[in-house]
Amino acid sequence: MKVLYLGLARHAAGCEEEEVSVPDGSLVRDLIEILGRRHGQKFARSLTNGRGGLHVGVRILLGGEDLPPEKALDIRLSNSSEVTLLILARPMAGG
Amino acid sequence: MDVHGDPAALTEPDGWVRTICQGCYGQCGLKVHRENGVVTEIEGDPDFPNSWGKTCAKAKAYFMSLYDPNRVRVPLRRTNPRKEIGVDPGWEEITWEEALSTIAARMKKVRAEDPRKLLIATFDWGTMETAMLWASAFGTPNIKWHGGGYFCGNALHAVSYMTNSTFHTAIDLDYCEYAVLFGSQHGFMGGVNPNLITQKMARARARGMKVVVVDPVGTNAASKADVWLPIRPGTDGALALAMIHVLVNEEGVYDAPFLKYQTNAPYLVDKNGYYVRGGDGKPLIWDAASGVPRPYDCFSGAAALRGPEKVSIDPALTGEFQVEGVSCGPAFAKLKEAVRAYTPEKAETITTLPAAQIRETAREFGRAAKIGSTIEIDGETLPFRPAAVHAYRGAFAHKHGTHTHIAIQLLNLLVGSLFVPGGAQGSDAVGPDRSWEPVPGPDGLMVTGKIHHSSVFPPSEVAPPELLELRELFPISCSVSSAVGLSLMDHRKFGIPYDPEILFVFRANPMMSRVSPEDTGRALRNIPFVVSITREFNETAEFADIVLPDTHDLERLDMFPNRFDLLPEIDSWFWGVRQPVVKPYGQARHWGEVLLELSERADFRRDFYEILNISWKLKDGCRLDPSRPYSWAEIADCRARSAFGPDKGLEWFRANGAVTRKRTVREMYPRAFLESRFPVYFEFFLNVGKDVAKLTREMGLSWDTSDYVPVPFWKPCADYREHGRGEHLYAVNYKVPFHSLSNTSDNPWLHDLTGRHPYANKVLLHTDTARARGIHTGDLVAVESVAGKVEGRAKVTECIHPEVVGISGIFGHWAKNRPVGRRDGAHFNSLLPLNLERMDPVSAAVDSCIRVKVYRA
Repeated sequence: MKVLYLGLARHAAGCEEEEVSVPDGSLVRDLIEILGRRHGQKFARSLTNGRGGLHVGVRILLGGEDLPPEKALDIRLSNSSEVTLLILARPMAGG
Repeated sequence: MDVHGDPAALTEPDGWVRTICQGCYGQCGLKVHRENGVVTEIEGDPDFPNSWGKTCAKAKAYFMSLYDPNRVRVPLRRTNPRKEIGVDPGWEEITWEEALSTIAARMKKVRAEDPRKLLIATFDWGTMETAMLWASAFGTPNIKWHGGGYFCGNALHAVSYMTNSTFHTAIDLDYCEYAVLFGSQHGFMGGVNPNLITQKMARARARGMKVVVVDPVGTNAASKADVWLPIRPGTDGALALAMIHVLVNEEGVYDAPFLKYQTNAPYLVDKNGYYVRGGDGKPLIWDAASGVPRPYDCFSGAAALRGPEKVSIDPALTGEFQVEGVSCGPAFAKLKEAVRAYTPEKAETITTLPAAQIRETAREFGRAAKIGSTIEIDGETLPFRPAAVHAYRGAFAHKHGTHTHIAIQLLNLLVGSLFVPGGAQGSDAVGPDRSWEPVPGPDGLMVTGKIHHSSVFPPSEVAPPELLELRELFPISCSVSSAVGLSLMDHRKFGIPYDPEILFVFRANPMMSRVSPEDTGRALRNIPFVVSITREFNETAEFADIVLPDTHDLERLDMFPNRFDLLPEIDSWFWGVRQPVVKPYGQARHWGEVLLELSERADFRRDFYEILNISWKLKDGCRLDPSRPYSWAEIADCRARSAFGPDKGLEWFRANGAVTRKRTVREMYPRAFLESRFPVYFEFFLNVGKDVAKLTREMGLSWDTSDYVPVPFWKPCADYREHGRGEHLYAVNYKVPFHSLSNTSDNPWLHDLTGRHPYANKVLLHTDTARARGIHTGDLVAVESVAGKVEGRAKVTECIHPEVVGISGIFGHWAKNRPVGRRDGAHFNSLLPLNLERMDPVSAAVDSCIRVKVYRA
């Protein structure tokens, strides 16, 4: 499957896109684990918060469809999927 | 009339134009009259939901900033490499093409090396999101060096998010009957949303609402209050804790059902302060009905409170229990015990307020809350708590400000006064049509439901810093902008793994609005290439390498500049447009257009568009096609049509102003419907503190982690002295209603108004203090701290605490090409040093009371 990186995810991954092979039945969280092994745990930690959820400002698109953040990690993938990982800067907030 | 020599402006038809003000955070509706391409009248828009037809002096004075002959007219390049305060940059005029190609070349190099080397400083509050999305597309997370240190004081938003799940705190003035304002001028033309909230305050006062103002200075709010409590600076936390003590330990006044069923007050806590958890890791409560421990979520809190059915569980709020050999008690009991140390008599020695007054204020507040009462609105029966406290920068911009704000918010929580009629509020806990609302997070505590927010719970990860804001070391801070200045002065000390190289500054002036201009100048010098997009030649622009002319608020287009998190107490949701009334001055361009152009030239336009498509959820037919460039106006049109349908594009908004929709009862007063719990005990501080302590020790940094405790406390600011009353003077800062941040003090009309106002841009001294120093009203006086010295004209008054020197503003600007108000008045921020010792270790708020000497200059 093709994985595209947008925003801060690109610098974290070190590439714009790449091909990744995932086992049948894999979920988005499995993909992130695979990517963590490839790019380092720091990369995985930039996406997930260690409590089973996505960090604030992380968006995942499957075939161009924006997945609800609270459900995204449990969405099933296939090797024909195209996944976009977007990390946004934390918003400006107060002085 | 000569409109800056721009004949194109004259082609616009005459008439009224509806737009949105940007004079402060308020986003008030304006009607602006244009004749022959010239602005001739400015009025409040009576149909605009956020300002009810009113506008203030800042908008009325737009004429002078719009037609200011000293505006930046063309792109400029620095010729003098020496960047110092007061040094002429030696500007030379260049073309836009030359400027943009120079900037884009630097950006391409940095983006290829490490995009984090680019930093943005902006405080364009309504439209900052676009800058954030642009920065994200470029690849930098460094967007936090705001210019608003003067305004909110950092410790505001983190505690607000923790306790009400929104960015701001507010009061339901439609029903409130008793309000206590701590260092706040809420409802008196200070703070956010002033035109709306001041009108609501006036109505509330007319029907008899009582207002108590706690402030060392007799501010605009204090002077209109029923009771003014002139407190010693930096001691508001002690007052709040004493009031809590009176309520819970002396009077037994607290909203027990709310605390039991909708907060973590009954969670069992062991002797080390941690929750006692069951086998599944869930915190336990003690069910007094059955005499056994149960998981905290064994009932629906909201259902239990709404009734008529009541759950059979009765969570204990007091007592000592044994759970599998562990001694424990409810969190509420820990809180009750912790505040016993803050008797009114003890608080009197700290605050200088009489114990009897403290006790009476607490009792009045408790009585006014009418605990147990209900009210029916639009067919819904809701808890009625017509008493609220509200705090702002004056209270918590101090060394231990996070805990001060927690203590103040606890007053609301203990009487059940949050998101109910008459009580304390947040800005936008529940979104339009419940598009977001707080959800239960870890341990059932509330997490804001907004997808992209800056909440602090759950806290962010403690890790070696990679962000210039050092968020990794301030994981419970929402706005860590003060830390950016600190790290920019010596980023290697904090382990930042790259060298900052480009800074974009627009609609911000850190040299004046952050503390210590000398240190801010050092920080700016450490960035090799600084680009300022600015309307006026401000103090930060004097450190820039390239200056680009920005548009005025009456020249710019912004789709949906109204952010709901900045607009508490609105009755209606609204989505509006700020539209150009006249053509831009000279060669001015909106900073957004400049960023758009730079994304094209630096080869990341496709990424930027894709991120806009995703973030704004642009629908098919409105999505930006990455293969072609769009103008700023085209993007605004796409966004409008995507949100409201093909008939409501940019032109519809230009003609009609805004889409509005009344907020429902459930959106305004959601407490009775929430399943998430409010925190009154902050257990998660413990592990965060341990993590920060471990990491900073490994990094060799001296770091105070003693504030990471789960119950609030009061500790003195660095300069506080309890004894020797009258010996020491503390300088404090306060706001006046007709100025905002640092960008209004050079407006000739506002400058004139300032000169006539008794308390604006003066050095306020108490009568006794002035007499002892031989100072009279009108004398030029010097105010000197460890960090700097400023001068201003004295105003001798009874309306200030005797130990306090009051300095308003931001005044005293010094930029060479900003002649009005130049060197006129005292610049408060010059008195404050920037260092860790004077920062709140949790929020990174800079302590803004400082010991000073005052003498005739």
